[in-house]
Amino acid sequence: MIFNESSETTQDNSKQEVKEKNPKQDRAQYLTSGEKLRATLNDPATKEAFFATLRTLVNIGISIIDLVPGIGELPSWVADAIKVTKEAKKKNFANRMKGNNEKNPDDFWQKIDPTPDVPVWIALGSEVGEAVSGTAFPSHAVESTAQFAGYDLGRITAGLKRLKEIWGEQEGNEVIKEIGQKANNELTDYQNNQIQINSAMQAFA
Amino acid sequence: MDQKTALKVLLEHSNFFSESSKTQILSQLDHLRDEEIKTLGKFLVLEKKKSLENAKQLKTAVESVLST
Repeated sequence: MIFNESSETTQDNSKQEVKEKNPKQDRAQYLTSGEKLRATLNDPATKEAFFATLRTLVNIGISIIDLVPGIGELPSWVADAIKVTKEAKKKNFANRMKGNNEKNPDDFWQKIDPTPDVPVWIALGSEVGEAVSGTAFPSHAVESTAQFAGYDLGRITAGLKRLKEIWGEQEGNEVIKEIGQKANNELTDYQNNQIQINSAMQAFA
Repeated sequence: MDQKTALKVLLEHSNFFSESSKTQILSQLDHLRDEEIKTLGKFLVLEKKKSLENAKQLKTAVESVLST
């Protein structure tokens, strides 16, 4: 009896895994946010593109969490993703402190470290005040260590396409439009304040 | 533009730091050493450059995906 129950559970799990690996357009709307994220990460062909997209989103601004209003389930997993990336930053920083600088392609945390060489106090923005006032403030030149990873257009596009497949046509398009709006806001802000921003950048050249 | 003023400008246009972090940095601006101001400033310059590059790529990618 126990065996039968176990067998059924295994079959159920197996079905669930298959479903999550191959989310169909017509059932995307029924997936919870957690299932959508797992479906994305369970797809080997798109996992790398997803990580590239996620890191790009994080790099363009942690404040992407401001996308919260009006886009359904996105906020919960974006918030989770940001928490996860911060956790990755902590773990990778701790590893480097132990003298372990080796890159391991199979290390989950290294994959989602948004800016692998940015000092941890920068990644943990909310704690920066403490870092600035304490002894942890890095005196070395940031430009030699900070690395905002840039990703090629093809990988970002592939990641967004897959995101649309998993989230469904309508919701996916809304999410992608919001992401586009965020990028557009950054470009517009620069255009509107170009002289001032360029002068400020020149001060540190 | 002096580096303190430049740092204020770059903080205002930074996406990376939260508003509370920006406030904390600004509140300590007068107590920061020149070296610390330079370090933060160089980081923010790098952030702005990469943020603009990424924004251009994201915008192009979004337009491409939405048009298909």
